[in-house]
Parts: sequence; C-alpha cells; structure tokens
Amino acid sequence: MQIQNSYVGRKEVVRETTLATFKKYPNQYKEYREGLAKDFAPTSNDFRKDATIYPDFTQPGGLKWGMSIDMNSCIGCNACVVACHAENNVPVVGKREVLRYHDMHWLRIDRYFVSNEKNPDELAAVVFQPMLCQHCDNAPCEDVCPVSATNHNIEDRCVGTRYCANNCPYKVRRFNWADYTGADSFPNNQDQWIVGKLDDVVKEQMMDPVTRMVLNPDVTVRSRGVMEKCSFCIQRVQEGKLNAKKEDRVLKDGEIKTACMQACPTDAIVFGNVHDKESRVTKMREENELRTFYVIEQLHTLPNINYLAKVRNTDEIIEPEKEG
Amino acid sequence: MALLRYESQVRGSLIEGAKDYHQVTEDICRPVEARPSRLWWIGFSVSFLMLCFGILSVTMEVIYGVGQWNLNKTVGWGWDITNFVWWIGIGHAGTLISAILLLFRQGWRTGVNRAAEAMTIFAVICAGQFPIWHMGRVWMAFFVLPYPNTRGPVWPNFNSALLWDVFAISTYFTVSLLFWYSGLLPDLASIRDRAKLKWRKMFYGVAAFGWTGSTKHWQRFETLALVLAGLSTPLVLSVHTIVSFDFATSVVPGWHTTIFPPYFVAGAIFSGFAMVQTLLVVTRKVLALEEYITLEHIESMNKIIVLTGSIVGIAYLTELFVAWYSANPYESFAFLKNRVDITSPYGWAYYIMMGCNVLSPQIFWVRKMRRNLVVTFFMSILVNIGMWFERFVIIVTSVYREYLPSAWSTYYRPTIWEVGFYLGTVGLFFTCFFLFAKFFPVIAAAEIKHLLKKSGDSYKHNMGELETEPVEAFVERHGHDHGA
Repeated sequence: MQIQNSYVGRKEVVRETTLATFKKYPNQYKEYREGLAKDFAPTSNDFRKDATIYPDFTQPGGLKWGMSIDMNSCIGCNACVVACHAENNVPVVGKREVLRYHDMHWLRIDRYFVSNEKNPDELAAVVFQPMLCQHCDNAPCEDVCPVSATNHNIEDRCVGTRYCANNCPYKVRRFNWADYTGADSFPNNQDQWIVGKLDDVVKEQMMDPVTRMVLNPDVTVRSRGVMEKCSFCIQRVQEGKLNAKKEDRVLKDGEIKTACMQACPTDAIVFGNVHDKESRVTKMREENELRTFYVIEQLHTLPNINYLAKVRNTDEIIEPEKEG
Repeated sequence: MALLRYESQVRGSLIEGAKDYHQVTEDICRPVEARPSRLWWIGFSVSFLMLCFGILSVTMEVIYGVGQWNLNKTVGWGWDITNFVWWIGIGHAGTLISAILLLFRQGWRTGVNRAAEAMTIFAVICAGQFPIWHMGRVWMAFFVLPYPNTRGPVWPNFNSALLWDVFAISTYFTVSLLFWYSGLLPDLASIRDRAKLKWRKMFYGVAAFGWTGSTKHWQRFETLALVLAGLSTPLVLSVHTIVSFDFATSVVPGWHTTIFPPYFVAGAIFSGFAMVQTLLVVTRKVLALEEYITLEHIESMNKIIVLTGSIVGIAYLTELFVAWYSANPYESFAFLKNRVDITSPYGWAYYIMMGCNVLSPQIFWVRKMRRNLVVTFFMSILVNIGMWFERFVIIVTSVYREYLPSAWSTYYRPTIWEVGFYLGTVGLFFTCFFLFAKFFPVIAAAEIKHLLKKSGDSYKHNMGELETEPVEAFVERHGHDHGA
C-alpha cells in the first residue's frame, strides 16, 4: 500500500465526489473526457489516431484486454495485492528493502485522505485506488527503452536502464534491485554486507528448494537487474485461449480471470475483452458512463484500465471549479 | 607603418618572453623529458587511489545488483545519470576550442587546445562509464548495438533517446580522439627526434606514425585538421542536444521541455570551459608554462564562461516563466514547488545551482577579475559544482514527485558506492590527465610556432620598434636589399 495524505487536488488522478454533487452535476467526468477528445482531435475527430504517427494497432482475433476498477467498491483490503504476488512470483523483499522503497508490487493500493484544506485533520473520507500497469496503448515506457524490451511483455531483453520506470506516469514498473528470488547465476550475490543487506528470511526462503516450490511454475522467476510489471496474468490469458482453441470454440467472457479479479471480495475489479460488446467489462463501462474515467487521461497514454469514480453518500455539494 | 602588423595592437601577446622556435620546443618538451616531480607523484597516486575505490564500488554494484545504490521505485536515475551528463558536458570544451575556434581563426586557442582536447577525451571516457555500469544487467549491454544477431534477429529501439546517445557519444568520442591524436603527430615526432633512450625512440617512433615533417605531410595535416574541424563542429552542438533528448522526449514534468537542447549545449560549454580553467591554472604553474598559457588565454576563456553562464541563466528563467505561463499544474508543480520552493526537500539544491551558475560568473564582467588567477580557479570549481547540481536538480527533483502523489514518499540520497563510483571517475579523469601531462606535450608546439610570428611577445616588441622608425629610414635600410 502506498499512502499519501492528500491527492493535492489532482483530480485527473483521483475522481471522488459526494452523492449530492453527483446528482447535481452528473455529467462532470463525461464532459471532461469529451473535452479532452475534442482538444486532441479537433479536425480528424479520431481521438486515438491523432496523437501518434503510427498506424492503429489492430488486435488479432478481435481480442483486446481491458479492466474496469470500481473505486466505490474497493475497500482497500489488499487481497488483490497478495493474490498478485502469489500468482506472478512477485518477490517478497523484506522489511529492510521495503524501507528503501524497493518493494516489488505489480499491483498496489494507493490510499489518499480527503480532508478539509484549511484543517487537514478534519477527515472527510478515505479513497482507495488499486494501481497497476495501465496497459497503455500509447505507452510512454515503450518508446524510451533502447533495446525494445518493454513492448508489452518481453523481459528477457531488458538490460536495466530503468528509463521506462522513470517515464511511467503511473509509477507501476518495478526493478529487481537485488537477487530477491535466487534466480541469478552469480554465486553469493545475496550476501550484501555494507549496503542493502537482505533480511535473512528473504534470503533463506528463496535459497531453500522446498520453499521455492511456492513459486508458480507457469511464470518466470526474474533475475536481478531487470524490470517487471503487471502482465494482466498473461499465463492465465494464454491458458484460456488455448483451452478454447483446443475445444474449437469462442472464448467465453469470464473464462479468464486475473488473479486480482479472482481475489477481490467486493468485485471491484472486472477483467475481460473490451471488443466483445457483451462482456462484463464493456457493460461496466457503458452502464457507468458517468463515473468512468482514466487516470491522468490528458497525457494521452490511452490506458486499457478504467476506473469508476468514488461517490460518497453525503449531502455536501462540492461546486466544480471553473476551468480557466 | 601600422600596416606591418598582423594583429591589432590592443591584443596582448599570446606567447611571452623572447622566444625562438628552438626555445618553444625546449619549453614544451621539458616536462616530457624530465623526471616527474614530487607534486606529480602525489597527484597521480591520489588519483589512482580514487580510481581503485571507484573500481571497487562498481564491482560491488555489479555483483549484488543496482540495489547497492539508493535508487528506488520512484527515483530510477540519480547520481549515475547526473554524473553522466556532468562529464559529457565537461567534454564539450575541447572540441569547441579545437574545432569551432579553429574555423573562426581564434589564435588564442593554440595555447590551450591540446590540453582541452585531451580533457574532452578523458571526460567522455568517464561519462561513458555511467550509462554502461548503471544497467541492471551490464553483461547484456551489447544489446543496444545494432548488428545482425541470432536473437531473432532483433534490432534496438530506434525510438529511444538512449539509443541515440549510444550513437552520439561513440561518434563524438571517435572524432575527438582522431582530432586530438592527429594534432599530436608533429609534436610526437619532435620528441622522437630528440629522444636519447631506446624505449623513448621506440615509443614515440611508433606513436608518431612516421611523421617526417615534409611539405606533403604538412599539407595533409592541415587539410585533415580542417576536415575534422568541419566534422566535429556540428557534433559539439548535437551531442548534448541528444543527451538533452533523454529528458526532453519523456513525459516527466520538468524533463519534458523543448528548451533543453540549446540550454544543455550552453551549459556544457560553460562547464567544459570551467574544467579547462581548473586544469590549466594548475598545469601552467606546475609545468612552468606561464609564458604559453598567458593571462590573455585565461581572460578569453573567462569571457566565454560569463557568456554561456548568462545563457544558462536565461534558460533557467525561461523555464520558470513557461512553467507559470503554460498553466499546466504538473509542470508548475515541478518547477515552482519541487525546485523554487526552498522549503521543499530539494529546494537547497536549486539555490546552489542558481548561485553557482547564474550569479557567481557575473563577476567576470570586471576585467580585473577575469585576469585574476585565484578568482578564476575558485570560480572554475564553483561553476562545476553548480553544473553538477543543475543535472541533479533536473533529474531527481523531476522524478521524485511527478504525477501520482502516492508515489511521492521518497527522499533519495546516495550510498557509499554511488559516491564511490563518482569519485572513481574523478580518479580516472585525473589519472589519465597526469599520464597525459607526463608523456605527451600539453601544448601544441607546432601550432604555437605558427603563432610566434604574429602574436609572440618578441615579434610584437620588434614591430613596435619598427613602427616608431620613420619611413625614410626604413626605405634607406631596406631599399637596396634586393632580397639578400
């Protein structure tokens, strides 16, 4: 969990409001999004195409994975985070490394307080925002990698320049600062003695062949020096697709569940094919059109994860600021 | 009779004392031929020890991973890239002096070009260490090279500014090295011809590539110098432009700035000249070359420092103006909150940068200060501290608080190995420079000889006397010469 006292008025990051406000101004978020689309493509009206010189990437087989996260439902329980760690062999780095901000979560819960600006102690609400790779169609991380390692999934080409992490506006890319999982071929490279000493429990666990059986055999174990991030549980996606192919049928919606979606007790996370008009994720977006937003959408990263704004059940009315 | 002069009377002489060609050779070859002084040994040993510590620091990082540094999930680049940009900036003065000033026919460049070019090469070598060793898997570093391979074949990503860096810096290094070395040939041949020991004859004989000093050699030498000057002139501008693209092409507020290319180039020349000053103020004293690296040289360089420092200052102010004028809350946050606000965690760094780079060089508007060695030396150090902080401010204060407030909770300070790596490159730089000062002529003797007849002290003195002579007397004396 990454905690911050306030989202400092960065509404493009966190959309939250009160029920009374939402009733009074139901179209706020929709209008903002329409305004952006207009700004980006004033002449061509093609919002997606206008920001890039590259041809639009067509998805084979009509598949395009997307996710919808309802901030109204999220209770910040962190079950998704744990599920993600277990499914994807995400290293558990231990207390010492967490203190150095070396945690490896592919998925984290961002927590913000909503409080009175003049009196920060007067807490109005808490907002939880599960934050993971947004699977941008126009991804800033991809362009900057010198060895083309970030093109959606290829980690074995990563040389570890960390430029992609710097250029990720969501800060969801995680670097293997040390050999957390015992995956590296350098001997004794976990015995740091001056800087970055690993907790014994981390070291021992990952060197012990029995404990290592906790690792998911369907997912690679990354060595130190490479970047990693959420893959939309690509191993599950592949398995689902192969099963459908073997049985010579169309992939069903809901057949493939990411680990986080499966673990979420409040069904806040919905994953699916956004090209499928009948899929849950498509419907989720359509039915909640007025609450749908993308995080810092104005950057035109074209994320495939949308959020649904949090609406608090209070009578307070927050007047919208006049756009300058 | 003033027409006899090659050069305006207001220009001071660039070579002091009554020198003839032989004396120039003697003076410049002396440090190469004499035993190194105690001072040299002390300097060399300290530098070499620093280099060794640097090697240890890098070894630790390669064995245990980049976690040996305090970079973290929010701050992906810190001292590593700061030092890279700092060194590459320093490496800009040499080529500017040797190429652009050659094309502009600035005579004063001859006194300082050799040392400045050498410094450039060493600085680029130091700079190159950082992008290489900061990689998580340095043993895969060759992945950035485009060559037919068995991995697919896969090509590097030509969209990435880091790849442009690879090309820009390797080209710059190659051209600078050629320029420096080809300029050395006549002087190496002089040393070879004067050598009495067998190994010296061998070493300088091989190094001089069989230079005989024939007219044909000189003709080719001059042509090559011009061609290389033409090649490296655009490089002086392009290399730091491309380095600035590492930041300018990103989406990070504070990096994504279109003003970066000219701003970086001016800053690079600024810091490069400061480093040349640091080295030359010491070198001329230690090697007793005050008559060749004169106050005239020092003053010329100080003028460039005040010019480029002021350009950098304007760039800083423009950035602030645009941050406000753009009305982009993320950009104004990066500039006004993360930097200008002195109470913010890194506010202090911003003010060190402003003080050292913008305010302090203004002292060089005063002629007396430009010609003061102590002031010059002190200022040259100050400027490079300032320029180091400029890169630190740009890199760290931009990424440590960008878009998502949840990712902000970090304060980055280096570990001993990050500092060690930096000290190691300082050691590498000075180790190289000390070896250069011992084994190579630090002043381009052949080029100085070109200058002797127009900017030399004795020449200027003789011309002065000639000028006071009445025309009749001159005609009387030379009227019946008939070329005798």
